[in-house]
Amino acid sequence: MVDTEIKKEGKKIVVTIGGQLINENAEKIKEVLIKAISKGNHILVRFGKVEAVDFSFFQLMCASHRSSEAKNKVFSMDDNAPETIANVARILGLYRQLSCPIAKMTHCFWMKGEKGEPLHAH
Amino acid sequence: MANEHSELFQEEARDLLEELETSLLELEKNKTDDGLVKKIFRALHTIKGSGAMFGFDEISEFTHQVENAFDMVRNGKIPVTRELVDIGLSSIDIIKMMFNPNEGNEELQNRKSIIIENIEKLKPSPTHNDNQEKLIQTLPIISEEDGKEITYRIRFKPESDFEEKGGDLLLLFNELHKLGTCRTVAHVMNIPVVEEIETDRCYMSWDILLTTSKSKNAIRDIFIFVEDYAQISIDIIDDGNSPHDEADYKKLGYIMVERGDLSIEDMKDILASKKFFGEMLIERGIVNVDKVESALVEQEHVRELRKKRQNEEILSTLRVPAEKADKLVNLVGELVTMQARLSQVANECDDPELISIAEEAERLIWDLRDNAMSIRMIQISTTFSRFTRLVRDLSDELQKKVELVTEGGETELDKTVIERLTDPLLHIIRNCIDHGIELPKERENLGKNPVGTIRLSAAYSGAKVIIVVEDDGAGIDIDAVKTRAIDRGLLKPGAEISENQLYNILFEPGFSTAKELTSISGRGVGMDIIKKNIEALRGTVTIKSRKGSGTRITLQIPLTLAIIDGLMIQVGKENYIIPLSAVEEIVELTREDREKTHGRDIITIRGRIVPYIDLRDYFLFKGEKPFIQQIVVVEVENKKVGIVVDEVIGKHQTVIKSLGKVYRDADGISGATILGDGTVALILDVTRIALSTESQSESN
Repeated sequence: MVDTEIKKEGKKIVVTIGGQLINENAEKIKEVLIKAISKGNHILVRFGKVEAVDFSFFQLMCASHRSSEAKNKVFSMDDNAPETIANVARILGLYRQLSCPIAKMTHCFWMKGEKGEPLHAH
Repeated sequence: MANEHSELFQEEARDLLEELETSLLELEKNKTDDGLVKKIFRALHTIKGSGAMFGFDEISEFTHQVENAFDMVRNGKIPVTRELVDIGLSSIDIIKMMFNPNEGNEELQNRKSIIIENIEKLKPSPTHNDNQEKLIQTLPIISEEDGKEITYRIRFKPESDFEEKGGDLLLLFNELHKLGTCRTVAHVMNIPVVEEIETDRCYMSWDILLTTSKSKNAIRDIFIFVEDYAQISIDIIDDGNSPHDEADYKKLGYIMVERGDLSIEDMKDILASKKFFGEMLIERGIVNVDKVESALVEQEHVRELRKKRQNEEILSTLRVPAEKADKLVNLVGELVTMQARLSQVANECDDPELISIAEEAERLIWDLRDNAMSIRMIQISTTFSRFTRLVRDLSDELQKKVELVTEGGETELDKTVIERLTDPLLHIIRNCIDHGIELPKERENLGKNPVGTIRLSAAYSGAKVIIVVEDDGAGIDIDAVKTRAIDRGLLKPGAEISENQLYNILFEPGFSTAKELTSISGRGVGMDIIKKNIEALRGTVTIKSRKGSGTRITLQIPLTLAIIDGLMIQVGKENYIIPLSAVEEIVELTREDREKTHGRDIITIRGRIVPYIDLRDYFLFKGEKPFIQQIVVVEVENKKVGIVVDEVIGKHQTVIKSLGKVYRDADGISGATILGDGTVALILDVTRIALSTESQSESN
């Protein structure tokens, strides 16, 4: 099961996602994200009660970010991601110190992870 | 700076080579001790790594070859044999030669080639698989979990339908996390835009840095069911053996070149731009950000790991150049002298407050003295371990079987004393092997174990250390010594002589009973040098022997030569110091006592006759002797001898200063010290003075 909701908050399109964010529900999450991106220029993803998450969800988040950037739209994620999300993101090595070059409108949302400040390459 | 580093490397490498030699000799005895194999491998690895770092490329390359040989042992491919130990020991000699590249270059190259050839010969032939298997079975497999933390770089690229085929990424990563400390970097560059994504496909790949004590096989086991539908590579990037001063790790560019993510040409090109390397790579689009991210994480991970390891090592020991410790002891010596002056002035002023301060300073300075001295104290085992190699090589050369047993290696002596003790001990052990221990057949015929034993032991005895070298060989032939002494005119035919006096003849320059000279000994130049060196250390040497059973040589050495507890005495108006460690007791000597013995300089103490020597006579003092004098009874070579002085002043912290060249051979004097009032007091050579009573009684 996956719970999704799209609503407008001022200029922002807020997508709330909860439930089982796993491969089986990935198609449904994909549809919701595409719909949200089409509705406005600033999309914010918030989380409801997340029961489970796997790699497919993170792929969808990155893919949505890329779509938005390509359309000069802002795609961001709520800073207060639930522990289930943060934990799996850590295990799968999503947190990073260098932003991906696709991100022009906003930084990569995984940059606010474990280490905080980006490293300088030597 | 470069020189400093090079000296540091040489200093550390020499320590490691010593450690290596000890381990190799132990390994020869305990051929299946995997701990020793690991220790040897690590020492070689460290020499190789730091050699390369400090520009000693030849040493690094050569050590690499030797390391390979021990790597084969580690991996169970070859067994530990005497030949392997020989290779290891010879390599140590070669590495030492390499520190002075101009010395014997041709010989060095020849020896190097021989070693490399011998290592090649050790390599198992691929056709002898059966034998190899047997070896692998009999030798411990050390590459398996061995408690050492190794960092692996795992590159994992699942096929896009990985999960469809039953793979569970999260489960896999959780299993890896259970093995140790994991840093994972996801490569996300291949993820398309959301409209194009196929949700059941995996677009990501990963670099995982895993620091674990588990083996590569244990990691492979995690991937065992998915290896058909993923690309997996596992490489060691830090084997836990990096030299302790190598906290740094590779530059980013080198990591990426090593991974195959970047060409050397591109790296050089980017470096020329003088911007942040990673930044330039991304800016120019040479590699994608994921690869830079991953390399950065690797760099950070290994640096943190090495820094942690380095801190752990730094906390346990601190390496200080010997000359700094010497300087500290010299300064403490000056402080002790100054403190004596302070105490003297305080007592003369009779000011209670000043006296109290002087006493407090005295207490602190004595503590400081003990601490400073202890810094220079090193275990005698460092010297003992050198002899194990000597015994091995010499016994081989002379076709004898000799085992060296050492005891009391933990006994500590001043660094200077230990340095000056090595040569005398070397001579003694050479003599033991050459003249003492018989050939194996001979020993068997005598009902002895064909393997002879040399026992080398050290133990404290008050302010001295007793070092005993004992062999179970042929012993000294007293009759041969007597005959030779008569031949050389050192002894009159038919003269009465004690066994001890006969043994002392062995210390005469050039005296030898050996029928033939060998390259090792027999020229009679050794024993007199031993005695001279030991006496220069204010020590004594005695011999005990029994024909057919063996010889025991005992050295008594003071713990230190820098600052000693002394007994200050006075003769006339002069002050002298007698080392307190030699003093047994002090008794009174009156003019009446002298008259009772009718000019024979002896006194009876508790029923025992003790000969004495009057320092007034010894140093040719003029004037009448006081009515009451003091006899300071000292023990030298197990004999009690009295030294008659006018007055005993008391205990004195004595900072030993060496005498100038002019006074170096002054009889009865071993050094000097500066007193609180700035005057000089001579330190008595108690052994020399005491032994003069023997010659006096003989002439009487």
